[in-house]
This record gives sequence, C-alpha cells and structure tokens, in this order.
Amino acid sequence: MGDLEPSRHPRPVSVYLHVPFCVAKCGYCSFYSLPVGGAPDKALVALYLEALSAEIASLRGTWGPFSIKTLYVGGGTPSLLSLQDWESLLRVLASLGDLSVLREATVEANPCSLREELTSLWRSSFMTRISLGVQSLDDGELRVLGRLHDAQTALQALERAVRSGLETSADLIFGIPGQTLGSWKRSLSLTLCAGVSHISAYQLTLEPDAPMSNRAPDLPDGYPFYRYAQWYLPRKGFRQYEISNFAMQGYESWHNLAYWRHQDVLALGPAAWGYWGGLRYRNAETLELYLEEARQGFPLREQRGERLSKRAQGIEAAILALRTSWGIPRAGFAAAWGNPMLHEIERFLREEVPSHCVFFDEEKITLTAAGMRVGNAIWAGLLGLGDG
Amino acid sequence: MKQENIRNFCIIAHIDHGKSTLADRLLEETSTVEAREMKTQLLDSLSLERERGITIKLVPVRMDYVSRDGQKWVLNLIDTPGHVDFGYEVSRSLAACEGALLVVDATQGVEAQTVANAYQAIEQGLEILPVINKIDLPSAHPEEAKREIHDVVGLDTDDALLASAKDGRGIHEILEKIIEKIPPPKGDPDAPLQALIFDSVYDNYQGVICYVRVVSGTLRTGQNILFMATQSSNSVDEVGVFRPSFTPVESLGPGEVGYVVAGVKTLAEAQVGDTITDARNPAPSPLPGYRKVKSVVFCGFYPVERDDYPQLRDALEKLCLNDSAITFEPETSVALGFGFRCGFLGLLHMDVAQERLRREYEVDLVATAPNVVYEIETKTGELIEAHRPSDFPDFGAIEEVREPYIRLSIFVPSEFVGRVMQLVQDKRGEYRSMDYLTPERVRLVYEMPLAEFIIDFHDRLKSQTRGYASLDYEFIGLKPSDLERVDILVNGEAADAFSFICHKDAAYHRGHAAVTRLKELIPSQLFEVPIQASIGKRVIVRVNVKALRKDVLAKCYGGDITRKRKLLEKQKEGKKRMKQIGKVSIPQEAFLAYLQVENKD
Repeated sequence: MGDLEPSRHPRPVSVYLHVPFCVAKCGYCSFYSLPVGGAPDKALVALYLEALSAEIASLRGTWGPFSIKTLYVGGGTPSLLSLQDWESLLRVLASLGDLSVLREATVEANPCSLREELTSLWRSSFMTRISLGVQSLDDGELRVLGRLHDAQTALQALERAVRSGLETSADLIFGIPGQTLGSWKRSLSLTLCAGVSHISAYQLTLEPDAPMSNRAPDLPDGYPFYRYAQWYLPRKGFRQYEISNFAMQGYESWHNLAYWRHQDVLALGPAAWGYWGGLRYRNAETLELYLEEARQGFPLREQRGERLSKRAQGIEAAILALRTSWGIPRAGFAAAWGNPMLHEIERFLREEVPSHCVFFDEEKITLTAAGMRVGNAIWAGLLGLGDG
Repeated sequence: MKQENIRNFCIIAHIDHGKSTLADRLLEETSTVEAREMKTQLLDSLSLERERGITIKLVPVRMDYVSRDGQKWVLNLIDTPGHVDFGYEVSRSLAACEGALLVVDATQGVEAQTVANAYQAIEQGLEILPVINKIDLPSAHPEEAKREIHDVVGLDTDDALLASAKDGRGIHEILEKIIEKIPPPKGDPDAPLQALIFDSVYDNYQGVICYVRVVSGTLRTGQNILFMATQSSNSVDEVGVFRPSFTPVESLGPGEVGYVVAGVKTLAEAQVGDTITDARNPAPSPLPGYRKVKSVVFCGFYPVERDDYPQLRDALEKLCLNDSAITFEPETSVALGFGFRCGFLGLLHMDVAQERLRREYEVDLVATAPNVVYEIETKTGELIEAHRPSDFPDFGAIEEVREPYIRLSIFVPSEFVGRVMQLVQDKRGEYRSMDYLTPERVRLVYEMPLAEFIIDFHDRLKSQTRGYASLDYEFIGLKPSDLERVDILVNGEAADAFSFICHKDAAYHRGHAAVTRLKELIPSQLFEVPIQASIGKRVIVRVNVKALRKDVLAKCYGGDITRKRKLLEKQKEGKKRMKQIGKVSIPQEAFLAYLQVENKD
C-alpha cells in the first residue's frame, strides 16, 4: 500500500466530501448534519467553503499531489446549497488536483431540494451522477421515516434527475414499520420505471444516535423484502453487485467500490471518513470543531485514525471484497496479503459456512445471493480468525 | 449444681408456630438476657435465617431459674432444626434432652413435621409437654388444637399449657411445668467420660467448638479427650456454658450442657453424634445413634465467570468449615467448565448453601439441576453409585437401576385432597393411606421417588393448596425403577450439562420440553442445528434451530466499516463467554436460563 510521504507523481485517489447541512434530521439518520430549517446561513456556508479550501491545500501539501478517480459529495443534504454556493464548491473541488482521470462524481440530493438549476450546473461541470434519497414511494412509510417529501415529490425529482442526463441512483429503504411486500414492490418498480440505472436498498436500522431510536418502534424482519429485491431486480436487468447495491451493467458506483477494495479515499469536510495507505481516519466531528481545526491547519488528522495490523487489514480486505460480486480475486489477494492468508480464509469459508452460501472457482471466491443475506455472520466468523 | 436440679429440654414446633419467640420469652423470664439487650429472636444466629423467618437451628442456652418454692434450677434449652432436611441433627439434639415442649399454633393446629418430630422424641424416651401457643390471636382455637394433639399425635392433653409467646401469657407456667414433669438427667460423675456432640461450629479463632451434653463422667479443662468415631485425640483448652454467650467454666458434669474447645481444626474430626471420652480412661463404648451424615441431593456449582473458579473453591472450603454436611469434589462440564459437584442433606440445605456462598462469600454461581444418588447394578454384577447423569453406564450394560424412595405424609385441608392426590400421582407417588384427622383435615401417606420430590414438589404442593398443606418425609430405601438417562445432542454432539435422568414414561415428555426450550434459547447459526434428545443411540425427539436466514449490514462505506467491525469485535468479546458445543456457540445466558428452568420443569 501507499506511503505517507509526499510524492512528485499525482496519486489516483477517491474523494469523499461531507456537506453538513440539512433541513431537518430524519428519524433514522445517524450521520452528522446541522438541521437548519430552511436554507443554511450564507455566512456559515462561506466559512465552511473557506475551511474546505484550506483542508484541500493542507492535504495537497502533505499527501498530494492527487489525480482524482472518483468523487462523492454526501451529507447532510448537498442539494440544499444555493446555486452560487454550488458554483463556489465546484471551484474549490477543482483545486484538488488532476481531474482528467475522473471517472465518476456523485452528488447526493434530496427530492425536496433537487432543482433544475442545480442539475444543469452539475451536468455542465465534472459531476456525473446523482444519488437521490427517495427511500420509499409510499406516503405512509415516508411519514414513519420522518422524511419531508411525499411520493409525488420524489417521483418528480426522479424524473428531473433522469432527464438531466446525469446517471441516477435511488436509495430505497426496507423494513419500515408498516411496510408490506406489496408496497416495497411498488416502490421498487416505480423507481425503475422512472429510469434510474442504480438502486441502493438499505434495511432500516437505528443506530443509538438516530433520533428515532428513542421511540424505537418494532422493526419488521427485513428478510422477505431483501429476498424479494434479490429476486426482482436482477429480472429487471439490475445485477446485485454488492450486498446493498444493484445496478445495470456498467452503472456500478466506482466510488463505493473503492471502499470495498481497500483503495485510498480522501476525507473532506466535518465528520467525513477517509482511508489512506492503511490508515482509516475521521475528520473533526462537528462543523464547529472543523472550522476550529481549519484555523490551526488540520493538525489532528492522523491522530484520529486507526491503523490495523497487517493481518487485520487482510481479513478486512477479504470481508469487504466478499461484499461485492467480484469477491476475493485469488491472484490479487494473494499478491497483497500472501497465500497463507488466502488459504486460511478459504478454509474458513469452506468449513464453517454452508456450501450454498459461497461460490469458489479458479479466479475468485464470491458470496452467493444466500451468502449475501447472512453477510454479517460470515463477517463475524472471519473476524473470529483473530489477530494471532 | 446438683444433677437433680438440671433440666434439659428442646422445643418441637412447626415453622411459624413461634419457636423463636417462645425461646426469647423464656430467656427474659429467667433473666438470662435483660429485656433491653433483647434483639428480636436473639438466638437465630444466621442472618439468612432471620431474613427468611425460618430457623434452621437456634443457639443452645443455659438459664438459671428460681422456682416458686425458692429452689434454684439450671434449664438447658437445646434446639432442633426445624426442617426435614436435618432429620439426623434433630435426632442428636433430642438425644441430648430429657424432655420437649411440643408447641402448636392455636390458629393452625398440628402440622406434619411436628408429628414426625414428636414421635421421634417419644421414641427416644423424652417427656413431652404440649404447649398451645398464640392464644392471644382472635382466630385462636386452643381447644381444637388440643384435640388435634390428642387425636393426631395421641398425647394426653389434659395438662396442655396455654401460652402466648407474644404477650408473655403462660411463660411462667411453662417453666414450672418443665421442672415438675421433665425428669432430671441421670449419670455417674465418676464413670468414664461420655459426652454427646449434638452440634459443632467453626470459629475462625478457636477452631471447632463442639456443643456437648455430658452423659456420664466429667469434662474439664486440660483433659485429654478422644473423639470415638474419628479416633482423633486432643487436649481440652476450654469448657463452658451458653449464657447465651460462651462463658467458660471449670468442668461439666453429667447432665450438663456446654461447649468444648480442644484445638480441633476441622468439623470432620468432631462430627455430630460422635462421643467424646477421656483418652486415658476411655468409655467401653460410644453413645448409641451415631452415623455418618450422607448427602442425598447433589448438584453442580459452577462460577458464572470461568476465572472465578478459585474464588468458588475457597468459598466452598470456608463454607464447609461451618457446615460439615456439605460435600464437594471438583468436576468439569463441557458446557460450564470447571466447577464442583456438591452434596447436601436436602433442597433447603442446598438453597441455603447457595445463598450463603452468594452473600457471605460474594461468589456468583450457576447451580445445575439437583439430582439424587442412584444405585446401578450392571449386567456384570458391579454396583455403581451414580451422582450425576454421566455416571450412568451405557443403557445396554445396565441390569437394574434403583432410586431412593421416601414415605411422604401430607397434612392438608380436606378440600384440597383431590388436587394433592393428582400432584402426587404425577410425581410417581404410590398411595399408602388416607385418614381424616378432623372432618376438615386429612393425612395422606404416599411413597414417592426422592428425585421427583426434589424437583419442585414443595412449591407445587404449596401453590395447589394455597400454602395450607404441610409435609414430612423419611427415607425408606432404594427401589428398582425404570429410569433412563436422556442425553441432549446439539448438532450431533452430546451436551453433558443438559442430560438428565428420568422415568421411562416421562422421557419423551421431558425430552421434548428440553429440546423445545433449547430451541428457543440457542440463536440461529449459519447452519441448521438439530437438537435431539436420545436414550442411548435412540433419538426420541428432534427439533431444528433453523439456519440464520438474514443477517446483513446494509450500508457499509467509509466509517461504517470501522463502526461495524468494532461492534462485531465487541460481540466477539461476549462470545468468549459463549459455550462451544462442537461448531455451535451457545450464549452463557441460554445455559443459565435452561438450567434454571430445568429445575422447575
């Protein structure tokens, strides 16, 4: 893996930027964001953009220069920013480094704030992809989730995104209290009909810091919904290329693949996570702390990180690779982590995991659809191989 | 003190009939303890006993009393343990007395155990003085209580005393009657020493303190004494009497009750029922009635945390210093790790031991389901004493299994007779007799396997009769029985902690209950896990813990990876506390839940 010394040649990296503003916290959300009611305060956004600029400069100085492979602007609600702020943001991002190899640049958007002016701007810039937080196309379920949009708004936003010519992905949630297989099917098929090329299907889970976890409703068993998605989406040409992601051939998210392939990801913005040469690190947790650190030149980046032992990294690499349909590539994995580790992992998967969950061939080891359904248990088992 | 002016007596009473309170009043009346020093129920020594309101055994006490006619007397009150578990101790305490107060609650009448203890006292030649207690209560029916004593026990109740230990009525009369009716002790002060140990306790500073009743000869400081059963010989450091605190005296003569300290290190050397004699001038024979106490109920004690094994061992060792009737030996269980197989006199004894380990020694432990000792005759004629299910040989090698039986007397209001009969029959009880004590009260006699009794009989009897039934039992020996060992297999591997012994006819039912319970407790794994109950190689019931069908983290980007790994690692820490049976991990909690439920099931 890479080293931490500055090098003269641009290093190809993925970049995650966190935009920490939203209108209101959704009940299930455990990401960091500042609920600002309407539009975020101009002056605060200006400070944020200024700090971002400083962070990019600091990163280029220590780890750069970079050539950017993929970019992901997440939140919060990035689409909440005004057109002018977006213009500034794109300028700031362009200062990261060489964008000539940029393969994919995604922005997360909320159906309520996805405006024509923004999609046009993105289309004319280096952005390539919109990830729209649809979550459900059932008004009752959207209310349970505490979303501010209704199904109608979501469908209109989907249409706007698709029409803009940007690749469009939709996030959908299953396992919502009150959800039925019928309503899930409707959400899936309406989303497909809108013309998306990518769907992320997440089960509703409540982290302890999510607002809804206090009221902790009984969550339904996600199994039937997940199983149905695994059955339905491939029939519509959407391959399950990762445990929670389905895409038409060629529309997989390259940025997300970087996480699962243990590739370098730079973190920008408050509460963003990065991965750099084996170091997984986290930025300052709140906007306030982030602005404070910007004034001091971002001194703490490495101290908030965690560097796993070589062995633990290898096990994690296997776990992440197994999440994807490409699985563990034998040759590549052995080259990176050694043959003994590959054998050990293979032995575990052959002996401790039911045979219908794993598929072995000469090039790779992958999870089957059934294996993906019990991914956590397999993950836990692999972790059990331990550090020793 | 002249021998003729000594009276040794005990109190026989059912739990709650007011034994401790009556003893307290006697102490006050004789000024042994000033009223202001009086804690309620002074003589209950264990805090646990006081808390539960049950007295296992009172501390003995010596009272000085001046009677109406001006004579001075020494009255020794020796207690009898108030629970069926301690039948042998009762008999030794009775052997130290010449008389007994038979205390009956005027609102309740005679209870089963009272009858048993009264008969034992009569059998040992004690003079019985009936006392009707609690006459202050509005619901008291002294005449009915008297009639029951007459009809049920068969004692003459013309002289029965009416008393209220609560307000002090009748206490003086009791003392006068003790002097009048209970005979003085006999015994030659110059004969070779014979002193009966009716109890012994362990003291951290002095070692074992034996509570004795001198039968003949004299026991004095400096004397070389011999414990006749254990042949251990020691020199007497101190003799004394109970006032009720330990008060040293020069010597104890025939008929006197007191204590001996003689540098004895373990209770095993000074067993209840043994005879102390003079080492230089030994008595030709020990006093009759000694026997080695035998555990009848066994269970495994395991530390909740595996690392606490040494603490559990230390605690058990200390507890045994105080209670020689507990036996323990190390054992291991595939499921529970290292622990001890402990033997007890009965269920209450086991409960008390478990509770004392928790409270006094702060040990957190798991107790496995109690079981009795089976005798197995193999086809080759060998006899095996089976203390645990794993002691059972293969089914094919067994010629006969014998299990301990008890004769059970139950006193119950007649309206509950039907329910009690049903309960006893469910527990493999065999009917012996039924008679009406009064038109409202019935005595039922059954013979029943002890194993069925120890599981939950007492609790169920109480709930079936709203607490109105009382019972007593005695061992009547071993009887052949169609018993089988039911093994529980998890994923094809035997889980020793789960196996149990039961009657052939109940095997399917109990096996089914066990595997069903385990199915609820064992979390789904990647594989389907069969849980089977088997007898020998024959599987009698099987259920499956369905394979995990979904366990997946939906979102897994950037920080999710670290968060999730940390979560799983935390679970892995927890998993160290899981018990591994083959490939299957069973949470500790499941084990505990299973074992605790099994007790009641």
